[in-house]
Amino acid sequence: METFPDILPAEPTRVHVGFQVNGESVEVAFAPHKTLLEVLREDLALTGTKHGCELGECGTCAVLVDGRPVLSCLYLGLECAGRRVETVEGMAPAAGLHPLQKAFADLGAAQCGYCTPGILLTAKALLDANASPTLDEIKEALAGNLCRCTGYIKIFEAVELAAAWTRGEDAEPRKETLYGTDYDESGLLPVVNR
Amino acid sequence: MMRLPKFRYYSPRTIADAVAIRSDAGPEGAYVAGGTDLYPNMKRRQQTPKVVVGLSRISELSRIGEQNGRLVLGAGLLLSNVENDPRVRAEYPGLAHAVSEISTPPLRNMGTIGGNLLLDTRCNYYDQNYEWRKAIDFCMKTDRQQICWVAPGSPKCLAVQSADTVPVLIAMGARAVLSSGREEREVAVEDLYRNDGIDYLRKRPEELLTEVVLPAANGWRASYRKLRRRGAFDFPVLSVGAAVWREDGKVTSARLVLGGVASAPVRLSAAEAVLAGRPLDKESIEAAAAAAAGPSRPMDNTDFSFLWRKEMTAKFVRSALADLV
Amino acid sequence: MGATEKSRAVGRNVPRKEGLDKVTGAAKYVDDLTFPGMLHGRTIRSTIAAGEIENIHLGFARKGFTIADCRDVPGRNVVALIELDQPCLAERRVRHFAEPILLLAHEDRERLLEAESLVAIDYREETPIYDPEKSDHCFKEIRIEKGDLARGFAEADVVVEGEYRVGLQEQLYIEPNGVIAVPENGGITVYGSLQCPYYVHRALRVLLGLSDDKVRVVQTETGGGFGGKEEYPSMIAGHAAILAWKSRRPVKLVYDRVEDMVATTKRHPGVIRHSTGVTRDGTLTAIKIDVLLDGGAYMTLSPVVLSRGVIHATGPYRCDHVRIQGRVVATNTPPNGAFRGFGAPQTQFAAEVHMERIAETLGIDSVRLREKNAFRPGDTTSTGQKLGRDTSALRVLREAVSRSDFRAKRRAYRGTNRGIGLALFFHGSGFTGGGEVKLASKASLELTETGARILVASTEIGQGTRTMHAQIVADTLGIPYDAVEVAAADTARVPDSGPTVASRTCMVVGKILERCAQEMRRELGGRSAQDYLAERGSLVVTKEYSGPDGLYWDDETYRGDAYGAFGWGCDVIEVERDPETWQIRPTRVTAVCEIGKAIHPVLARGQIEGGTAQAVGYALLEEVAMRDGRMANAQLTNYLVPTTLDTPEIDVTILENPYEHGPFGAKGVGEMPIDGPAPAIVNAIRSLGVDVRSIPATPERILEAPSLSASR
Repeated sequence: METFPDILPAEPTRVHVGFQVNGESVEVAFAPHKTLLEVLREDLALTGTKHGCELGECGTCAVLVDGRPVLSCLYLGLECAGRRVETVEGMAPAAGLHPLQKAFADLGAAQCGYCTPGILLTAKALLDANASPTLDEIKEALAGNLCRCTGYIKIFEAVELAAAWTRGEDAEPRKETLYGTDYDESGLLPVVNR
Repeated sequence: MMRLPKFRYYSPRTIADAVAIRSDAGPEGAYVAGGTDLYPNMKRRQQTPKVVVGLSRISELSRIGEQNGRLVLGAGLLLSNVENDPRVRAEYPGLAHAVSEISTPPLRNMGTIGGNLLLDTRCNYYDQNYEWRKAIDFCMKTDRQQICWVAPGSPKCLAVQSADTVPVLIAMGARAVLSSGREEREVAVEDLYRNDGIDYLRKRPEELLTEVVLPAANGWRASYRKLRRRGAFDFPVLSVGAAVWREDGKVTSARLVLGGVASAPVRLSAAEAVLAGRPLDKESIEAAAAAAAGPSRPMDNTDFSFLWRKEMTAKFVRSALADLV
Repeated sequence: MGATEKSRAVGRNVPRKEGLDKVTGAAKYVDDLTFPGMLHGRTIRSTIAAGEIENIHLGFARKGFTIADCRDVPGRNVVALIELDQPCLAERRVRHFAEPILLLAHEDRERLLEAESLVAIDYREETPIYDPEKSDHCFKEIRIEKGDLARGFAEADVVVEGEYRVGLQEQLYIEPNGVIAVPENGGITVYGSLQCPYYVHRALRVLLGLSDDKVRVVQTETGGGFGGKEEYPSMIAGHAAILAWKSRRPVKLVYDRVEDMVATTKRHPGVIRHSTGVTRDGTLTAIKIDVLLDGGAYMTLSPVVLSRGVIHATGPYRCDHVRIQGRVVATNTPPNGAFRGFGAPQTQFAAEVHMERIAETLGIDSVRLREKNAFRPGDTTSTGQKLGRDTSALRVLREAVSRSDFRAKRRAYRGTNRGIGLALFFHGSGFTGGGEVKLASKASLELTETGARILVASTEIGQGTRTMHAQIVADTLGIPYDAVEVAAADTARVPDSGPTVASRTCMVVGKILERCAQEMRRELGGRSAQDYLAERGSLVVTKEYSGPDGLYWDDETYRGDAYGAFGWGCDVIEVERDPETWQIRPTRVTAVCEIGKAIHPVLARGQIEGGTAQAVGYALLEEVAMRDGRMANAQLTNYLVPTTLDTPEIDVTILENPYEHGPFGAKGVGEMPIDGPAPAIVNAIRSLGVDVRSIPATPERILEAPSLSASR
């Protein structure tokens, strides 16, 4: 067997970085080449942020930095110094859920749930900036977040519903969203050939 | 598991410091602004700089301001800030449109206008992970001993210029400011590029792109058309930047630029000449479009068949010009 | 315990069991878990498509690494599935690019990646075969024969022939494949993102040579499967287990996206040829179909994919004289495997585009042609299955045509850049033929202090398994939905309910659970759970699959009842053609599906919307570029799945025509929605006058296609 030198130095130099995560100040030590995605998941044990491609091509890892959605797989952890990071774990208020979380759960906008954190945060940034987005604005804002389960339909509806709640409207999910246009008040669907 | 290779990271506060660190690092160094181009390449081990000079904390790179009627964009401005800047939207709608067509909204919150200008050239044989490239024994762009898989006889790399903003910036006659610390030079954006997939920039490695200067917005209009399959994510595989100067209803000058078909943007001089002195109308646009097809020689190294991209050239030139009528 | 109409759960949109965890980030997917002392694993794969391995050079110091090859397999070096033809780690011969050869593990991910890049393997290359028409190895051949084909053609006025092609499709679940193998108690426990815990369980027993009780498989929250996590996780689990076995430490093996695309299974590409005899008035008299699927290098589930493909190959149409011949063959590409629809999307694409061409040839209305030939109750399918009262082909067709205003729009769009197309389709629920009898799936229900706990191996992969099963049990027991818990799909706790595939989880496993609940209710005899438990200690009811009486299947002749029930669907899709680029943009889908009973309307609609969107990708965008046996576009910038801006409006209508042997009348819904959109879109493109017969219908293909008037 050939012998080779060990290829890497032992422990890489670590940097100490202070920033805010979900409203709390943290100071973390990590290697300078680690991405925010890796720092959140591996150093802060915040595994709600997922990875889908690690190359900036799917939007799964989106988090908010200073209120804007960014791709945490391409964002260096140390670039967060002094900044404000929000992840899905920080979305809900102390009691209850963020309106987006509730709407996503109620309307079936999360199926496998894996793209959901990134979509929730991207949608949150949208609603923070625009209380009444049109359907086209929702589609445009979420164009960088791939979902393979839902066909996006229920996601759009959930964002619209959450926007209405955020505006203080007493909105309910549309009946056709839940049951389709053939819904009747009993919650029963038309039966054929009986 | 795609991890960045190890590197030393510097986060200077001034242009002079950035250039100094980058100069010291020599061939082992790289600038990074948004990281949306460099970091995927590093994760795929296409590039493995040992020293990375981050530009995000240099505040002078993020300024936006006027200078003799020209609009000066700091190279470090986020794409989303350029896209949403009221003055860019009002006076340079062609550019605002081109920026809005780049990848996706979260990516535009990271990528910068300067980074887009300097985007690495792309190729189906190059933009692959390490294992895939190893399986084909790599290519010229990673290892100069190897061949170009797109055209094995080619003496030069054929990777493709794929930046959305470049064709429209060249068309409008935008200029770029390059700093080497103490000295600055201003060049036409057009003169930044070389038709070589490896050495695709006419800029010294340590020179820092600091500003993009847009000409005063009067007497001309610019437009941008991009070919891609989806509404988001995709790089342009054919793009057209067009700008037309008019006086008394006649075209005094026009610039037409193709992206996505060569390692550098391609000026369509013959098509431009067709327009000069004529009104911008159906006939002149048809004539210009007909003259545009010839110089478009895409290679088979992006999405869409190259024949089809060539086929689309005249149509895209026609639409880009029609946007300006 | 009393059931009231008010408290019933079935048919209502009760909260998903794991709904809150999925919106708060609390749900744990496999890569979110860590174990003390855990190593990370990587797979070294072949860089050639065919040949022999000559030498392996590691190129790095071994200290701290666990390194395993085929010699480290404790049991049999195979991925146990239908055949034992696929090695878990290549021995000498390599049959496809990205075939696993060597495994590495290290506690530091970065050192692992560095080491991986230093491994070099020498090969003696052989000439690979990529063209299935030139393959010399057939995995499976199936022939279906009904009536007398020659007589059928003799009765025809016109014979319409055609060849249709479908490409590879990647499942593209957003969570990449991954598992963690943990050595414990003299055996191995695997946690993973997977659809079928007992498939993995069996594969590990064979691979490691362990007894049943020494292998445990636990499904973690799974970020999508679509068939892609049906059989492939057995491979990854095997690799992680080999490394864990050797290192005696937990090993996590999570693929990155590129690896997942390059190495794992895809939808089978195929060529389908039709020759149909038809009378002038549009009655089908003879159908002859030839199906060729490319299986890739190993068998995986290819015979079963072919089986479902050929059984659905006629589309939902009656004809007395049918011959279907199907083959799935080997090539030197990565093996193809399960993907939602499982052969039926391929063959029904061909059937429905062919149906459109028959209408074009005869110059008759294509809806009329379909109405004339669509299955009615009492008709027989190509395998001779007599269809029951729950046959809804005509109903979904008429509903979709009227809801979408199909005929008026088709007239109005003539001569414009807008098109509208239609496809009628069906999909068998559950395993094909005698599959369910062979599987003999079990489900258990355990009485708890507050209600009941479901014990099944069916997995929640986004479709709502836990919720829908709990609804069925709650109403059958007559207790509130919230009183029903669902145990994790953990082979140490749950019986083998069969795989979570084939649109069987509701209709088949749900039915077994319904029977468990009925027996539990009888056993309780009106007593409360607490009283019963105080008196008897515990109550667990386990039931095994028991098919409806009279179901018959002969696997030799392919005659009999292929499925317990079929779902029925009709899609109408409107498209716009970009006049310059010829790109096709779908603008609106009208999807009408008859699924027996929507246990949970929102979940059922979600299946239809999501399946439709995947099929829109299949029809227009998703093309796997294979170059020398390698996927050349294995990234999300160039393997193109629809974004928010590429997905049309989808109007879903669910119809219910109860299947008497389904729980509350339910049939399957998971796969069917992916059968219809591709032919509906291609038929919409045909309505623009373009003779397209293959997918994805990219602008390049559309440009190359002859115009319809020329090709008639």
